[in-house]
Amino acid sequence: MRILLLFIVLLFSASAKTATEEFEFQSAGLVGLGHAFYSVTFYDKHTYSIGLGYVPELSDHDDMTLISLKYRYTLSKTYQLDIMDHKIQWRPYSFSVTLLRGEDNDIYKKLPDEIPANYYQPTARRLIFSMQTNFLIKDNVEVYWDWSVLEVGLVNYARNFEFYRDNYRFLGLEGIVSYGVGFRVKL
Amino acid sequence: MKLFMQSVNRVIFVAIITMLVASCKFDISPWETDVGCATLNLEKNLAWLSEIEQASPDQDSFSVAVIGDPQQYPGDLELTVKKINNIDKIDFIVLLGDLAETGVEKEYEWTCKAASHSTKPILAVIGNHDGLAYGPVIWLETIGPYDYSFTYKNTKFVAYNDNKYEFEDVPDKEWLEDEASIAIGEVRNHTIGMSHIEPWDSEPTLTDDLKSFGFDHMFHAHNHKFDYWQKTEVQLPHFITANTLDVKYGIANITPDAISIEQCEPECTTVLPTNR
Repeated sequence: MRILLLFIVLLFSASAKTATEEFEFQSAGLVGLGHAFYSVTFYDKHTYSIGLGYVPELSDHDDMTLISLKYRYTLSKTYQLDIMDHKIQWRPYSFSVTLLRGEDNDIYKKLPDEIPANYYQPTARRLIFSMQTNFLIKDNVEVYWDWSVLEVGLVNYARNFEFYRDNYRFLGLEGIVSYGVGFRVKL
Repeated sequence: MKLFMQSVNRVIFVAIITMLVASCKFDISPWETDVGCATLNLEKNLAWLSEIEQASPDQDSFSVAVIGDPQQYPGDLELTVKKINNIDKIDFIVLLGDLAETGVEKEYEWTCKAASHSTKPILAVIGNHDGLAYGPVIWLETIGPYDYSFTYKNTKFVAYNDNKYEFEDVPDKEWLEDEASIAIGEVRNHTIGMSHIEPWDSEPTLTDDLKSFGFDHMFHAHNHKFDYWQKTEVQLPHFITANTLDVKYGIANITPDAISIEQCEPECTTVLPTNR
């Protein structure tokens, strides 16, 4: 709750001169079939987002809503690509961390009463580390490709590097990374 | 020159997109359940074990590797199964739970990938961490039932779920009693029970009950360190295997008359149960 309040304060304390607002939509990359974000970017680098996502009903669980808080850092390095007479500005890297919460009966935000305190971490909350490569296709529209790793994936990769390297492609990253696609529109 | 640069740009762009699409999975949430790995499927492993049994009908003694708690360290699980691959006397492996830490699909995939290096069948038993989030669904779809039994060379193995915080009404004592009982005309040397957690403190007479049902040895994990004990007045040995971190496992040597236990870290020493 405190993190959420801090985020809301940051979002709405943005001064008009330094901040730009964005609508962002992402599919997959661990944040749902669709996830809509309202974002505020400071100095063209630091972006804070609040989002709402959705996972449709599957054969083995009900549909699920997701809520998120995200911070993204975008490097200022850009390249001009000329694809089929269309100029695209490529920003190769941005990095983000997302606190994701799922809303469903089979996962919990706090431990059920029958389980002793601190026995497990809440299973409804996950941390996602991501990298995006971004293509500005119009003045105010950017599309991106997202690679995301769950916190447990990052920890396991660090602890078991040789296992991942030997059993998966691309230095083992294939074993932990999920991808998504999205777009951003400057408001 | 400009035309050349445009072509180079296009090639780079297409290469990047191809790499992006080919490189990883399109997961819509951390709580997916579709584990693309059949290595630990119970039906498949029991069929494989049956083939091994039929291939050596005259051999009445065998050994079983007892491992558990590989969560968070799939690399060590891989090393452990590779070590066990080289021990000829071991016919199969029992994996006593906690394949995952938080019950998510990816953790099951990593454990399954590590287990796929085994050249022997692996029979898995559900652990408490496997019961988190959608772990139970993944277990049923990928591995099989929580409670099951099989007989190998006249020894019956009974695997049961005793993870009380994550599942209701476990263990199913009535089912355990039925499974342990010997049918008229059945030839059985031993009845071995396998669960993730040793009898809970809240059930101090469970070991008495298991003995009265007909079990003569029990295998567990969960504690992450070796233990081997029996209640003095009951004399039902409970072997608790360590986790697989730094290649630790147990070996149960089973003859028609006796069961002995080796504790391996990774070198093996024979151990005896301590009385409690």
